[in-house]
Amino acid sequence: MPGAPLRRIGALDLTTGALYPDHATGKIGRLQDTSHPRESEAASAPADARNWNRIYVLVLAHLAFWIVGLWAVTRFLGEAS
Amino acid sequence: MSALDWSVLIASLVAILTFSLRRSRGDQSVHAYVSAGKQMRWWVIGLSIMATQASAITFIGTTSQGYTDGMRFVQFYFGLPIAMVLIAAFAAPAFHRSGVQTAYEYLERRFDAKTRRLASGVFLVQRGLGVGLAVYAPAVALSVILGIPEAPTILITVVVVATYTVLGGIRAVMWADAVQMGVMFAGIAVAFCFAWTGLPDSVSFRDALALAGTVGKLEAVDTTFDWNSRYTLWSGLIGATFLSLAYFGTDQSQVQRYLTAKSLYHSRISLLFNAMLKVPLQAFILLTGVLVFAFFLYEPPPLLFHPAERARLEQTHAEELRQVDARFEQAFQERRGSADRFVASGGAPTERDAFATANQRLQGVRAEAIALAEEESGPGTYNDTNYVFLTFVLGYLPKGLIGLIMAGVFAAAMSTISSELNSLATSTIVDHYARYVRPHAGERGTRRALRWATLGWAAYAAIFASFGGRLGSLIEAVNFVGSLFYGPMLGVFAVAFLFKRVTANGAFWGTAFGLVAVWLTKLVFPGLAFLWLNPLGCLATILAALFISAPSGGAGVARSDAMPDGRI
Repeated sequence: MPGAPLRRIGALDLTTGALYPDHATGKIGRLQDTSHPRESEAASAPADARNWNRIYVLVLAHLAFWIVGLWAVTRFLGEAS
Repeated sequence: MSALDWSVLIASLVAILTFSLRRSRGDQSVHAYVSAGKQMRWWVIGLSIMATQASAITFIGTTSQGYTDGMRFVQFYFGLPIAMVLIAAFAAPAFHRSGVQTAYEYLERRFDAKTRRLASGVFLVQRGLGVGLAVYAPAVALSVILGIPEAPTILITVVVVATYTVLGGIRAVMWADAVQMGVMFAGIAVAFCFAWTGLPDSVSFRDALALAGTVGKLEAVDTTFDWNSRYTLWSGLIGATFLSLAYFGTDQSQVQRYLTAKSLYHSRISLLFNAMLKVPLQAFILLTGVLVFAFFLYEPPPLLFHPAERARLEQTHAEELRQVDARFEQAFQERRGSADRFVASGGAPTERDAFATANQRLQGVRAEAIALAEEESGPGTYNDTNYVFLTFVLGYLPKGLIGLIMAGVFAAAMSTISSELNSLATSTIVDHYARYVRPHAGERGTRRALRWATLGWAAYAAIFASFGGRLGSLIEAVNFVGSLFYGPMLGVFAVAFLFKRVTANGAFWGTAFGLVAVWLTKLVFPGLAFLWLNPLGCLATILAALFISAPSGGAGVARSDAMPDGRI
């Protein structure tokens, strides 16, 4: 059904995009859809896309961190020597 | 190697074989054999993707590259996370939704059968040549360093790999990959610890890095722009992004891994797992090589790391070699003394210059030995990079741990070879045999064909590797041909995913145009770094495909999702 509630098993909450551990187990898990897959997929698609975009940005930020970090650390060590 | 080391190596091979076969028990359908029943979890897929990319030559060559060339090679991996994000965003959903078993099957859905045949044919040629090299290259290094003939090394590797790949299919391959990745990482971590703890007490980790930095081993990021320089920030961010997009997004040996995911979520996360880990992991491996360099500032390194070449020179140039050896020993002692003074002075500029000069002098003496080695074969033919790390391992690690690292080398070789055999067999059968030769072979017939195809490719790889020593320039040709294909392959998948107006003819002839454009560019500009061929081939293919499709006015989207008869 469109707009059907999504049960969260840790990880990302599709409606808010927040990161949660599973309350029962404390584990970070994955989302589980409690409604009909196709309908819920369609209903949650924009929010899902936003969440994935956030993750992609995080991955690229991680790359930038490593490039800048490697550049800075090795330059510092090279100059300090 | 001692008996203990051989025991560790053999035990690890048997353990991997047994474990992977146990994990592949159960469903024996074709779907399970080529797609693992679409039941794999993200971490197994992620480790399998990583292990498939890491060949034995990557394992021993990257650490050795850290020793000879420093950290700059890490830039080659800067494009990988960008590519992984793009594949997770565009390619993975398209593959996942279509439910295809090979990447090339998707092209038939989107375009037509001839585009699928072309792409699959390119893959079979490229990866078919590659699998022979994947067996041959580590066999040469291991046989030289262990003093055993190449044939048993090739035979052991291929027999073990073929056993679990033929019997267990992709599930066995992927579970083995996951374990093999663990063995590889354990091997590198052990080498890192021993290179560090093997330094004199007076030399700290910081001192070791400062010494390496003095001679340019820590220049991890090169911001200069040079078309002919292989490793710069720009070739890494642009050229390597295209190479990674082509390899991870269009090559069946990689695509098949994330086609096994139990959901799109697992598929995407496995790719992003690689995106997050790859750069730190490669930096760590290269840093291990840099520490090995620091280690050899205090322990005398061999004049030449290639033992067979050294033995040959002892026969042909005994007197000259004796003189070079004496000069090398003297230069080593001078460098060691200057390193000690550098550390004691806390990195004083005068001591820094003295150390750099002493290192240069040692390299000069080594160059004399290399010139002797190249007297018959010609300049630029001697390269002992792949032997540096193994020399360190065999010479300075304790018994038992040598076996662990050798297990890591074999694990790296097997993880690449098994994935390549499995994907070659899958493409051969799914894209050709079951599509054209025996479309109604049924479940049992197709499964049998898949097993025979895997066995056939394994036999071919073993034969290719056995004659590797006589192939000489053919191996260079293989690498050259391989570098021509990736750009156009990426181009045809890019138009499939992103340009709805491109027609089947546009895609097919655009790919052909891209292949010719890359080949001509390489002929006209032979010095152009190979990474740049990938964006060039991709863009040439896209533009040609759009141009050829223009008269149809967007008819390219009309194809049905239904597959022709014969789909398994």
